[in-house]
Amino acid sequence: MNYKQNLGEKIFNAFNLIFLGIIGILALYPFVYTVSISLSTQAEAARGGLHLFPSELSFTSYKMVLNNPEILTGYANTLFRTIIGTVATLTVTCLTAFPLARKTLPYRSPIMVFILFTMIFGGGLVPSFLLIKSLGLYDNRMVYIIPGLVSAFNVIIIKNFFQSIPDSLYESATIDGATPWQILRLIYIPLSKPVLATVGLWTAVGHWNSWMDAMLYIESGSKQVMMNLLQRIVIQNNIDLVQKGLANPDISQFTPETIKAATVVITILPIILLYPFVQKFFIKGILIGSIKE
Amino acid sequence: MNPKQIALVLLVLATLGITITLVGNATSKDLVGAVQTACINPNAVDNPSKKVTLRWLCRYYWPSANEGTIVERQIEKKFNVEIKPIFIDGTAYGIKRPLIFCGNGAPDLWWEPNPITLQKYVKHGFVAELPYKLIQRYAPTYVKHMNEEAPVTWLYCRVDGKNYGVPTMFMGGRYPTCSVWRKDWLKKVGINKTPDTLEDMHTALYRFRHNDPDGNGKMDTYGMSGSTQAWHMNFVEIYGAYGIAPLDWIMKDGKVVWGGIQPETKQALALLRQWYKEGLIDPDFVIDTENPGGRLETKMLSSKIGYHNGLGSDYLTLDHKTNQGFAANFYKLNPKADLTPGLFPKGPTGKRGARVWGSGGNMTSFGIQTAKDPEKVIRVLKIYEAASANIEVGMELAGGKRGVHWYFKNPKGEYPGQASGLPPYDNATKASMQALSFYAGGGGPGGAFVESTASTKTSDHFLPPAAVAYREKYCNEKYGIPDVLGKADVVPSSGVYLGDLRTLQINRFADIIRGAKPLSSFDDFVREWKRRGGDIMTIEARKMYKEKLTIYKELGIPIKKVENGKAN
Amino acid sequence: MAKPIKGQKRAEPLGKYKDLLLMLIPGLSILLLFNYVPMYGIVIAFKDFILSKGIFASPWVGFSNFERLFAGQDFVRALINTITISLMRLGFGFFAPIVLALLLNEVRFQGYKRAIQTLTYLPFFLSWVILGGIFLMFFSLDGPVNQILMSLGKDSPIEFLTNSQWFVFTLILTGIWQGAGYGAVVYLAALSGISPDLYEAAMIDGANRWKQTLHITIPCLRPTILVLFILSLGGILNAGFDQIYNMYSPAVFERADILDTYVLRRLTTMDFGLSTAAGLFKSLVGFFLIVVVNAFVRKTSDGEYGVW
Repeated sequence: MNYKQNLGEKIFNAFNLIFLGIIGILALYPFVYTVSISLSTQAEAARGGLHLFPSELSFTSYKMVLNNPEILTGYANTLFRTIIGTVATLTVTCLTAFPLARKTLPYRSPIMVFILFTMIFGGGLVPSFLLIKSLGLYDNRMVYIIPGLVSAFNVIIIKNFFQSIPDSLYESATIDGATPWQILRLIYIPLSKPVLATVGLWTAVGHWNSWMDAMLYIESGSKQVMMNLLQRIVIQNNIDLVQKGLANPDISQFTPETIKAATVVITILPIILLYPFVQKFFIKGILIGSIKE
Repeated sequence: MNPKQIALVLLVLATLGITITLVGNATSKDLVGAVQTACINPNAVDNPSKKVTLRWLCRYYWPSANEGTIVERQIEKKFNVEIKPIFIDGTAYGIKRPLIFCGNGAPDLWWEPNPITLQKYVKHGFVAELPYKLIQRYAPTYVKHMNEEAPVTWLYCRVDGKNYGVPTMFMGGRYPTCSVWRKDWLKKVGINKTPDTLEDMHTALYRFRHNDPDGNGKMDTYGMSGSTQAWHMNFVEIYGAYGIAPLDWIMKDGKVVWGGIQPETKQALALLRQWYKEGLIDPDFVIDTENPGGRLETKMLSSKIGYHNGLGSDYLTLDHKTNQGFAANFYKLNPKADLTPGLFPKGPTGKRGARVWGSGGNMTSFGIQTAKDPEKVIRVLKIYEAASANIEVGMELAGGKRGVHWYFKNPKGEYPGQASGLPPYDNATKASMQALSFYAGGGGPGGAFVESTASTKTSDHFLPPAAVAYREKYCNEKYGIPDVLGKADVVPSSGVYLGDLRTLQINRFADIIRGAKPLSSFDDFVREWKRRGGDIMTIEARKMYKEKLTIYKELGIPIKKVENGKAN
Repeated sequence: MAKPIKGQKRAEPLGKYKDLLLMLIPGLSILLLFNYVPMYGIVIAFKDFILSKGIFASPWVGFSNFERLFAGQDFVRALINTITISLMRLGFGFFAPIVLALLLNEVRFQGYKRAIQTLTYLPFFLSWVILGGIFLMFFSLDGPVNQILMSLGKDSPIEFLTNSQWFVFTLILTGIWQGAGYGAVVYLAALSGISPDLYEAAMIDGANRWKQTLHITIPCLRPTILVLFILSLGGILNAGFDQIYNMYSPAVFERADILDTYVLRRLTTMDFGLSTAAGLFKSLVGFFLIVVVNAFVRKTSDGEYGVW
């Protein structure tokens, strides 16, 4: 974009860049802290201060975490639920949002109320558990995918984006003989990459971070997810365990904090690496051209 | 949505509300809960040749285990049982367990960590009554050890005058945590003797704050810290010097009273308030963290404070600079420093001590359906008995075979030192996946399935003699102030009141110490405590104490005059 | 843009929408099965729920659970705290992502913009369990924040975590820190949908960037802002349980004890009646707020905006 900046705009730009830079540094710090702690010895972790970089490096926490044979299984399950879950969620959400974006759809208002109602009212733990059990989803990996397929929030976000696409596109496609399925697949979805990337990333992060469903509905160790293991790794290193149960001879070489930090780093690394790839879809002006009238 | 639709939704909601109100008013308004119980026949007999199936909800330390572990197969073979285990983790135990019970009915037996939860499960109709007679007949050694070492735990299993489980013991709980001083700091500020009384302690802490013991020219050190969140270790030795455990039921003048509302508690608070004012107590003591004990240790490790109470038996041998754990880390971070253990400070009336958890452990309870099938219960009692009568058997049922799955770390002595896993079970997770537990000291071997009991003598075999001597000197059980009922929350209505009152007390005491509220607000607190359910709990606690005496009588346990240590 | 004429809409046959209605089936059936079917569990709020009997066989107790809930000693305090914290979050926190998105939108160096956007988004990946631990260290009396303040000439450290007023401030601040980057993404996605033609036209008319922001960017963001605002109002009784639970202490209960933490502490175990009652109460209030605010927004915008 070429145009001349006046002095006020230049000052604003400089200030803006510096301000955002500071914000960026502040946002980054906890990660530096976590990585630093994960590489610390117990003595080092106990030291106060900012923990920008450990003065004495120790990879023992990582060894301990990676030595856990459950980690690989957990990773595989987490990958499974994140990939399949995100794709399935996006598919079903688009299918739900697309008809609702047509303002002329019959029963549109009651259907919206039907969807929104679920945002606010829920049945609670007991009936949900009994339902999952009677559907055969208990201790079944599909429990990670199916119950959370549709969320009202995602439907609204995508529906609103679809609504911002001019109706004329839909209408002219209909006149050309396209079915709604084709219009969704060939016109709306390609035009909606920014919002699909956003919702997809949210869904993926949600899948990646969630552990409650695994805790409630999964019993077998082979079906556990990473986040649940993260919880356990912390729990298994607490003082109760040392006193009453399994005595791990190596426990004193780590602190729960360093092991937790190492697990956190191992756990969040893939999803953080994913983000820059998704981010390119946010590039401004992706809609230009095709929707000009 | 147009106004018409809104009206419709509101109408539906209103109708629903009215219907429910009407239905509700037709029945009783009290939340009594029908207690449905069934009693296991005390004279039931077992036919050992009959294979018994047990749906067994295991202790929550083995979430990675599945059916068919080494431990499970050993038990199945030895006792002619078929085990269908359920393994869930600690987080799930609170939330998921009731759901499993609701969805599948109660398992045949389960590990029960909390007396209040047991009361709830009894109320919810899941637990079978278990007569003492049956336990005594099939697990005599187990009962003998229990009666000698941790009799109060029987109280945990008691609901409405009936017994609903088999208690377990936690021997470590009767020894108070140890105190350590920075010997180098003491020397630096001109004190050569480890502080003995509260006055000595005050002098030392005062100089730690004001005489720059770390010599950096800044007033950045405190005497001591604490943790309101870890209330079980917060200033316990100060209250102990006044003979008080502030968040427990204690015995005073032959009556059960709440420690937190006694005049002695006010004296202790006045002292702490003064100390705080003088800057001796680290202001961070009110902050919560995930790991409060760890935060306190960190304060000591990073030379912010010069005195710390809260070290467990793992850290007993401070002299061993090569030892792992706290001492090792401490000397690594502070190579020139020196630590010395200290006795609990002696109070104005010559008392010293600290609050302890007590030797009471947990429970095993049996599902209501086992009343129809008492052989299940008897077979489990037989397993417990075998593990308690012979510690070798106990260790085998918990951790597998010696020399195959585990070995003793220290080659000297009869049962010397910790047991440790042999490859591949030196990997904690691999051992855990096989439900192996190599822990035997401090109350008998216990694993995912088996509970056992042991005598003090047997239990101490697992500690190096130096550690036992150290413990006897500095953390002797005679200094421990346990709850007279074992756990404060064993009182029936504690579920309703104790949570709020405990919060109120912790909060108020912290405010008094910090000077945010005047000392006189302690008296308001006492009134509030009584009014908000404290009086009700006190009546119940006294009833529970009578119940305890009844239990002791039923089981033939002698009642000692002084309520202290294991004698309770 | 050709808008359908109102009269036409009614006359259209249902068959024309067959495909569209078919598309709705998977999503709506999932919602029906997993969200609506379990709603029968709401009756637990009106029952003395005995687990071994099941939901239907347990006795009705009318509003006893609600009476117990409202009679709870600190319930009113928790309710007030919840609303106060939520309103403050809404007042300060709601606009932070919008401002961040607008500022990012003004950055002309794409690389820098993307780098900052990535960085500010990062905190969203960490759960409050972890963040709580970090902030407790960060804001403690001898923590880095106080050390910096003291070196700038402050006499005594600020009790960020133990003074109840400062604690609420800390909550809001760290909440913004965690959520602003995440929230900004929605607005950035919406910004990316604004046609550059509009800006070009404005520039030709001589509008500077401030005016462009005021007259083009913000109006274009309005639908998104309104929808998110209505939705966050519905969650006013959720004051951020995860964050508070991981950061609070008894010293700040006076202002930081919210409904969720209150119920959690009160529930020793298995009191599903009370927790369902609390949940239902929260839902009803949230529902009421959403309906009212949405009606208001629709009315003031002539039916143009709103969630439905």
